[in-house]
Amino acid sequence: MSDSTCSRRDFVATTAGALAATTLVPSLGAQPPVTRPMGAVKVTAVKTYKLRQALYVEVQSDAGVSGWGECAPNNKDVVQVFVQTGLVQHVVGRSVWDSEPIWHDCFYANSDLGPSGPLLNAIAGIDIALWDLKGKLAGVPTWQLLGGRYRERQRVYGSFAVDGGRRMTADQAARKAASFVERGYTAVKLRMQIRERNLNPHPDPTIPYVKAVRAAIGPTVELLVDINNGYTAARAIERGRWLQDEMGVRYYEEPTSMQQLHELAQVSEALDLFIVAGENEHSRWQHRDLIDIAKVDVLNPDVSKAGGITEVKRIAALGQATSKRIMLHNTRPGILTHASLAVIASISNAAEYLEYSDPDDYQSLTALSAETLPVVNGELVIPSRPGLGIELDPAAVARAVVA
Amino acid sequence: MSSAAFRVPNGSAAAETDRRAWLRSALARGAQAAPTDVTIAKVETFRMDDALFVKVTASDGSVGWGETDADNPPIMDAFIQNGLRQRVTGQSIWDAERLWDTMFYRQHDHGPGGALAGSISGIDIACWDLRARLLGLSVSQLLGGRYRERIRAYGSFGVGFGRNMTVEQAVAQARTFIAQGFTAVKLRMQMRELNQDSPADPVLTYARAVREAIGPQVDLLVDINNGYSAARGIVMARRLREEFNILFLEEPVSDQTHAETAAVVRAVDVPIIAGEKEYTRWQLRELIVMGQPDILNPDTIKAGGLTEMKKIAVIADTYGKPIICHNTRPTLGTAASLHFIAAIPNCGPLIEFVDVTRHRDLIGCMRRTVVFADGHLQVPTGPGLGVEVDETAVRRRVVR
Ligand SMILES: [Mg+2]
Ligand SMILES: [Mg+2]
Repeated sequence: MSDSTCSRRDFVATTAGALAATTLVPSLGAQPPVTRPMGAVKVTAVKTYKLRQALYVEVQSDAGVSGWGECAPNNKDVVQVFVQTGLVQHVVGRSVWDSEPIWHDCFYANSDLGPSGPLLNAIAGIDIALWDLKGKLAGVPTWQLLGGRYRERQRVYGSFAVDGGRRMTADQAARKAASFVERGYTAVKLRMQIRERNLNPHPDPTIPYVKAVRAAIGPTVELLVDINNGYTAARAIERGRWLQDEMGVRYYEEPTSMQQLHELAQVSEALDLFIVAGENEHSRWQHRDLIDIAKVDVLNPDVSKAGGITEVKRIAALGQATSKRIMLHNTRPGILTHASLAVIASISNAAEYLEYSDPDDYQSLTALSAETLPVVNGELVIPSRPGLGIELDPAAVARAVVA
Repeated sequence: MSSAAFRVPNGSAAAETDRRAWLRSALARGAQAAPTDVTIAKVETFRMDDALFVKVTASDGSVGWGETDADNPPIMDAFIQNGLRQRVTGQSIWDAERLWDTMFYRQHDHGPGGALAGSISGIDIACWDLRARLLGLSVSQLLGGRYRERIRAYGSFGVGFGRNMTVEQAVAQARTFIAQGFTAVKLRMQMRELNQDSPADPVLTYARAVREAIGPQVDLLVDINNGYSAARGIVMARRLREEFNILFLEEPVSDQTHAETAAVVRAVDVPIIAGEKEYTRWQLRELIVMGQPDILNPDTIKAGGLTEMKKIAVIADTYGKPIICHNTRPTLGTAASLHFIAAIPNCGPLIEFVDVTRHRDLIGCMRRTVVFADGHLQVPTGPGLGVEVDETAVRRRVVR
C-alpha cells in the first residue's frame, strides 16, 4: 500500500475524532482525536427522533461520527418502538461496515412479526443511517461505496395526492400541478388514492381530475397517474386505455389491489402503458413476485419502506436480471431524497423519474438542514459530499421532536 | 498532511456558527481528501501456464490484483488486451457497476458468458482489491460486511472419466485431503456430454473406493460433469445416495438443457447442484427458474467477478437458493471467493478448494496467501483481498 493511502486513513480517523470532540457526541468533548483503522469503527448507539412529518434515526459510532436515516412515516409510533425494542440490540456494538449482516439479523430476529411493513420500515431507517455513516467515515459519497455513479442528476416528477377527491377539488389539483410546472418540473404525478375500500367508484373521480390536470399542464408535460389500488382488473384495463389514448398517460401506477398480483398481471398483459408498482412491496421476495406474477414493467420501491439502501440495491439487481426499471417512491425531501439519490446514482436501471413531493409542504423537515436540494430544470443534482451529502443540524432535529 | 490542521477548538468553546462552518468545511475537506478522483491508469496481464493474473494500477499509483478463469489463459489474456483494457483505462476506479456494464455490453456480441465473463472477472476483482486498499478496508467490508470469518472447504479432484486418475490414485488423493484436515471431498468424474450415458461409466467403482477410503464420517460429493441424460441421472443419483450416502450430486446432465436438470431435481431426494457453467445474473436466473437446482455453484473468476457475483447472490437468495462457490484456483481466485462468501447470507455453507501441494509453483508467487486450517478456509482480513502477490515471482513464471 502506498504511503499516501496510509496517511489518508490516519487523516480520516483523525477527522472523525475531531468531529466527535466538538460536535456530535458532547460527552467525548475533552478527548483527543481517535486514531485507529477505519475498518474497526463500531456502532455505539441508535437514536430515534419522531418528528411531525418524519421519523429520523441516528446511528452513532465510536469514531464520533453519526449517520442519519429515515423510516417511512406511516405509523411513527409503531416503527419507533420497533427500532428501539426489536432492532437496536442487533446494531449496537457491531462494525459499521457490517451493514448487510446487521440487516440480516434485524430481519430474521423479527420476521415472525411479518416480513413487510413496520419491520422493513424500521430496518430502513437504520440501514440508511449506516450507509450515511460509512460514507462520512470514508470521506466519500455513499454512492461511491454502492458501486459508483451512472449519472450526476436525476429528473423528478412533482407528486401530489387528492385522497379520492376528498383532499382537494379537481380545480385545486389542476392548480397544484400547474405550480410544479411553473417551478420547472417537467412531469407531475396525480395520486388518486382511491384505495381498495372504495373499489371501482362510480362516478370515477379519476376522469374529471385527470382531465383538469392535463388541461392545466398542457400536452407536453408528462402526467403519471396513480390509482392507489382502487380498481378491479376490468376497470383498470378500461381506464388505462382511456388514460393512454385520450390523456397521453404513459405510467399507470397500482391500478389494482396490492393483494391481487394476478389481477395486476391481467392489466399488464392487456395494456401497452408502463405498469408501475412496488411502494407496498418491501422486500426482494415481494418484488420478485411483482416481477414473476404481476408482470409489472417498472418497480417502485421506497428506500424508507423497503429495508433501506441495502434492500433496494438488491431489488435493483433483480430488476436488472429481468429488464425492469426502478422508479423510486419518495415522499419526503431531506434524508429520504438524499438516500434515494444515492441509490439512483449507483444503479444502471434507474427509470427516467424519481418521485418528489413539494418541499414547500414539508418545511418542518427542510428547516432541519442547511439547504434543500433545488429542482433545476426539473432535475435534482445528485450530491457528492461525503455520506448522503445532507448536512442536518442535530440540535434542530432534537428540538423538533414531537410526543 | 498534518492531522493537527483538522483539530478544532474544544467543543464547549466553539460557537454554534463556528461549529456549523467547521462541520461544513470538514465534510467538504473529506470529499476533497478522499480518493474520489482516482482513475484506472493501467491494466496489465500476467499469463502463466496455470493462471492469468490481472494487475490494475490506479492514477495515484495504488495497485490491485485479480485473476481470470484459468481454462484458457491465452484467450482471456487476448480478450483483456484487445477489448476490455481500453474500455476501463481512464475511467473512475469507483464505478464498479458501470465499468462492468461497459466491458460487457461492448463485447457481448462474442457471447455473453465464457471467455468474456471470465475476462471481466479478472479486471473486476483487481478493481475491488484496489478500491478496498484505497479505503484501508477488506473487500468483504466494502461489499457490505462479513457474515462469517471462515468457511468449511471440501477437497476437490478430477479423474478425467477414469483417464487422468486410476481408482487407486483417486483413493490416494482422497486420503491426502483427509490428512490435510478436510472433512469433505468431491470426486469429479469429468464425464462430459461427449460420453453421455456411456456403458463404461466408472462412477460407481470410483465412488465406492473413495467412500471406503474416507470412511462414513467424511462428506462425499460427486460431480458427474454433465455426463447423463435425465433418465440415467435419476437412476444414478438414487444409487449414489443410497449406496455411498453422497451429500450432493453436481451437474448430472448437460448444462445446455435446464429442463433435464429440473427433471432430475423433481425425481430425486439428493440435492442437485449446478451453476459453474452459468455466467452473469441472467444465466443464473434462468438456471434457477428453469433448472430449479437445489444449490448453485457459480465461480467468482468465471461468472463476472465480485460485482456480478453479488448480484447473482441476491437473485439466488431471493429464490431461496444457497451458493457453494465453484473454486479451483488456489490463490487470488480463492481469496476473492472467500470475500464474496463472507459477504452473502446464503452461503452453502461450504466452498470448493484444491490440494495445494499440486499448485506449489503458483502459490510460490504469493508473499501472503489464503489460510486453510482445521478443515476451513479463513476469510482474509484486509487490506483489499488480504493476499499479496510477489510480482517478481510472477514475472519469472510468465509465458510469452
Ligand atoms: Mg403510489
Ligand atoms: Mg463441477
